[in-house]
This record gives sequence, structure tokens and C-alpha cells, in this order.
Amino acid sequence: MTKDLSLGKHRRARVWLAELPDAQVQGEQILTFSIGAQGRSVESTRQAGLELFIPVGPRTMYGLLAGTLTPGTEARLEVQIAISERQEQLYRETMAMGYEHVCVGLPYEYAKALEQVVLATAKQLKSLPVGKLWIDYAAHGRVGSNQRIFEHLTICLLKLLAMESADLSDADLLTIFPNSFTEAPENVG
Amino acid sequence: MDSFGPNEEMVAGITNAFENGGPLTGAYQNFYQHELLESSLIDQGANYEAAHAAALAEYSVSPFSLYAPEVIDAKPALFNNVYRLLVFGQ
Repeated sequence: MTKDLSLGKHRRARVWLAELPDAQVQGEQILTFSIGAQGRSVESTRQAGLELFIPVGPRTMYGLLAGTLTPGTEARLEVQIAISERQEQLYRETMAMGYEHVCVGLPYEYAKALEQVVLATAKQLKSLPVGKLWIDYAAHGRVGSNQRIFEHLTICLLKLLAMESADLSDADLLTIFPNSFTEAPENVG
Repeated sequence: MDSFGPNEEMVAGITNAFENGGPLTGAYQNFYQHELLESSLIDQGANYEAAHAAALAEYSVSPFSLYAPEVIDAKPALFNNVYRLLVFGQ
């Protein structure tokens, strides 16, 4: 299921639930790390994804991130991130600006931001799920992507994957997004 | 829209130039012209995306040319490696 959401102030999100966008990264490297997690383990494999379009004046922040969470037995979240530095195929279904050049892939500068934000915010994320998270779907814009948008995509994706209900309303989904996407996630909760 | 530190730094640079009687040049000129036209078009009923694209097209400005190098350099989490390559050659 895919849902398009308005986040106000011209900001938009697309959410994939129990499916993944057509943006699989052909990873050249895998970044792996794990961290203690306080949330519950999921009972079965979950898939989810997010695309964000966040105008900030003469600039629009953009990114897409998706992945699969599988059950785990230890109180840890193990994360694997597919990294791709080369320009992969264009992601044509994007909600980005028309001039934006959006490619499937996840360069190291964004993959590293994913790792750092999980490590920095883990204690605040009481719902940080237990299990194995495989992030291998991503797209980035030549102009609008940056580390900050991928930090927020990561935290929002973790919240989405940890949500219990299989039948989430728009109001439920809106709870995963912060008030501000320009501040660091650890500063906006 | 979300407040965006680089916008505030660009506005501060533009304000400083006006107060000191200096000309606006480079990214500061691009930013100022872009924002004036974009907000005017939105006031006339255009949506954000159309106004943004029209403002870039009107002045034939690359979207990479709207922020000054010192602003890009000061906010590494908000500008990507493509900016750094184009602006600083690294």
C-alpha cells in the first residue's frame, strides 16, 4: 500500500507499507552495525518506505529510504545498509522537483549519516525495534539530498517499522514525522 | 516552511550589503532575486513548485548557485558532496 501525505507548509511524504518502492540499491559495499534496542521484536517480517519532499525556501530537501525488518531474539537492532556510489538508474516515480536528477542508490555520505543518527538517538527512541534491519532501497537527488534529510528518513522509517497496527490511518502515519526537518533529529524528538 | 539556517545566513549577508551600500553579487544576488520573484508568483496564485521553477528559469540560475560558498561550507549536513564538488572542487 502506498499513501501520499501532506505535512503542511508545502511539505509532502509518500509512505510504503508492506511493500517497497522500485528503488533497490545495487550495493557495492555494506555498512553494518548493531545497537541495544528497547522495543519489541516484530513477529513477522515488515517492509516499509518513505519519500520526503521538504521545501525550505529556494531549496527543496529530498530523499527516499526503505527497508525490511525481520524478527530478532536478542535485545539489539542489527542494521545493514547497502551503499552505492555510482549513479544507478533514474528513479522516475519521484515526487521531487522537475529539475531534480533523482537516482536510485545510497552514497556513503548518506549511509554514514544513517548510522550516526541511529547511534545518536537510540536512547530517545523507546520504540527502537529489536531485529535485523536491511536498508537496501533508496534514492537521492543531486540538488536536494543531504545528510539531514536522510537522518530524518532513518528515524521516521524506524518509527514506521515499529508501529503495531497493520491498518494505519493517515493520522497514525503523521505521528512519525517531526515538526522540523532542518534541525537534527536529536533536537526535535 | 521550516526555518533553514542557510537561508538566515543568506538574508543576513544581503541585509549587511544593503546597510553598507555594497552591491549584491554572486549567490547573494541570485538568492535575493529568486526569493523576490518566487514569493511574488506565490502571492499571485502559483503553487510553490511552479513558482520555484519559474524563478530559476527567469534568471537562468543553477539551483546550485543560490547559496554562498561560506554558507555551504558552514553547514555540511545541509549540503551534499555535489555542492562541495561544484563550489570547492573537492
